[in-house]
Amino acid sequence: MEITKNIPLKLEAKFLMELYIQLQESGYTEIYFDWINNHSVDVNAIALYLSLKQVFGFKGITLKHINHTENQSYLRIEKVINCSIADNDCKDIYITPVRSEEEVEMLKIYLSRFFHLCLPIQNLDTRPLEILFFELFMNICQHSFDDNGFVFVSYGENRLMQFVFSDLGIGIAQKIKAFFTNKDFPTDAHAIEYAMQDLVSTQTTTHNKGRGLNTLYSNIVAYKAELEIICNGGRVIISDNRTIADNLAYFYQGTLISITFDMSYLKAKEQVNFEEEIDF
Amino acid sequence: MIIYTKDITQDFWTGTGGAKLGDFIADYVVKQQYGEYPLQISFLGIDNITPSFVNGAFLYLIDLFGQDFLRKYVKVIQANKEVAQTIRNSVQTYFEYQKNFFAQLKINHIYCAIDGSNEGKTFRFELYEMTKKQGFSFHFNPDDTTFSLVAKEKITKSDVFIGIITSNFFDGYILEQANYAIQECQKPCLLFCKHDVRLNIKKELRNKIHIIYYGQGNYLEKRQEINKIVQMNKQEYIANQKTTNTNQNVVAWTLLGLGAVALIGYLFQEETAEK
Repeated sequence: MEITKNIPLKLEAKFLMELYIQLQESGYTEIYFDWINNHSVDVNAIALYLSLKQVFGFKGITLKHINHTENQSYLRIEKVINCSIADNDCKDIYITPVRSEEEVEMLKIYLSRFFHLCLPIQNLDTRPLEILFFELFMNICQHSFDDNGFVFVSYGENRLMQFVFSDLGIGIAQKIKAFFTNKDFPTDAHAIEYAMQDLVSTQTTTHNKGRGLNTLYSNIVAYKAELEIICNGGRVIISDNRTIADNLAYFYQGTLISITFDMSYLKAKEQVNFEEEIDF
Repeated sequence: MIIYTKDITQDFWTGTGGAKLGDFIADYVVKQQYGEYPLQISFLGIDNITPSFVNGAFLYLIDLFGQDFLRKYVKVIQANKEVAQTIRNSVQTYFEYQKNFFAQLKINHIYCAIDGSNEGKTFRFELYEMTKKQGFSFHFNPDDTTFSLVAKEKITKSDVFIGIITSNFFDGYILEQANYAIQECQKPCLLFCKHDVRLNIKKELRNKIHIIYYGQGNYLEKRQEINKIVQMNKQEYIANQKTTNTNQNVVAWTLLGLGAVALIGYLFQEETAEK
């Protein structure tokens, strides 16, 4: 069975979700995307592909650029294997940038449902995950200069939880290069690595101090998680305490961050004591 | 006095949530002219906070008022282990970062134009001694009454401009230099002006020049005023990418803020001494 979809000029999570539901229901084997020879669609198609790849499993999807003419080309996504998504109510979360306390509250309700009700981790201390989630989420809201970002969370039977955050904004690498014009970044991957150092910030708001990505890095290492950042022309992967930085064969407008987190490393919840004091 | 964070905000995850606490503390200390003992900030009942929250709550206060403010007026109580660790890590890292960053800034030059009144002359001498001790690189205007080529050259070579106007007799001389610094050299610029001086600023300069009136109000208020101007200008560069060297402009405004804070500290010290 084949499905043909027109990719909208502006990729939105709603589109991805509809597609996802359609895919699940249809038992498809192949999907074709109309890929108009237009930069923004091109970029969206790549974003879509990457997101689907992350959401639908680690092995099942490959990108094949099967045809390309002046006006039309196709992206082909092959059969999905090992689709591992949590149940329907909370398989994914889509949030527009938070601009009010009410929206933060909504986000927390979603998260609470996801972390505490839908996943069998009631006795685990999920706070490290929550911190990662919010730091990355706020990255999209504050730094990307894009109206929409999207976030997918999936949890499989192997206790691996995967977060995928993406936006089609300016991208970490471009932003770093535009801000630190006195520094030399041979590739976008170098710029991403630089952004991950502690206290490196492009200070988009007065509250940005450059701790977000470094906090992410520390947590990735502490919890033996895996991280992949795809941004503009570069990619950085952190796995087993090793960092791999390389160039992409395509240009990804915006940033995609994928984290694979093994829940086995979360500690059990403990009695919390509010006894600490700090004199600065 | 104990402030319960939960009463101020329910958002412990974002910088905006943290800033609600930071603003509350700043307003309380500055407007209420809070006394000697630190405010006790309670984190009772809060499971976890993000580093972003700490940025908005505490690092924001350091930006506005300096590290001593935090040491003097803020004490964290009733925090759990994780919350305390996040706060400690963020604040200590930021203290260290500021120390290194400020040390680097000392190679940059601040041009300081002081008028020729008796008060101005006293300032010039004492400020020179003070700034030398603090390690800032202040360059003062030549001791003359006309805007000379030497002064122009010094402004061109400096990174930022600060003017001090003590009297209506000399405002034209300082404003002319400020005009040159802003219009011709595009330097960040700030003027300190005694509160009873009425300035006659050219129309085209009015929106570009920032003025802090000294001799009234309190030290923390003025410091907050200076740093808000600095933050506003930094953000303007960042948001608009006004030039291709955003980072250098942001650094220059930071330098201006530090120089101005050092000067306002001196001006208030003088005022207190007079009383």
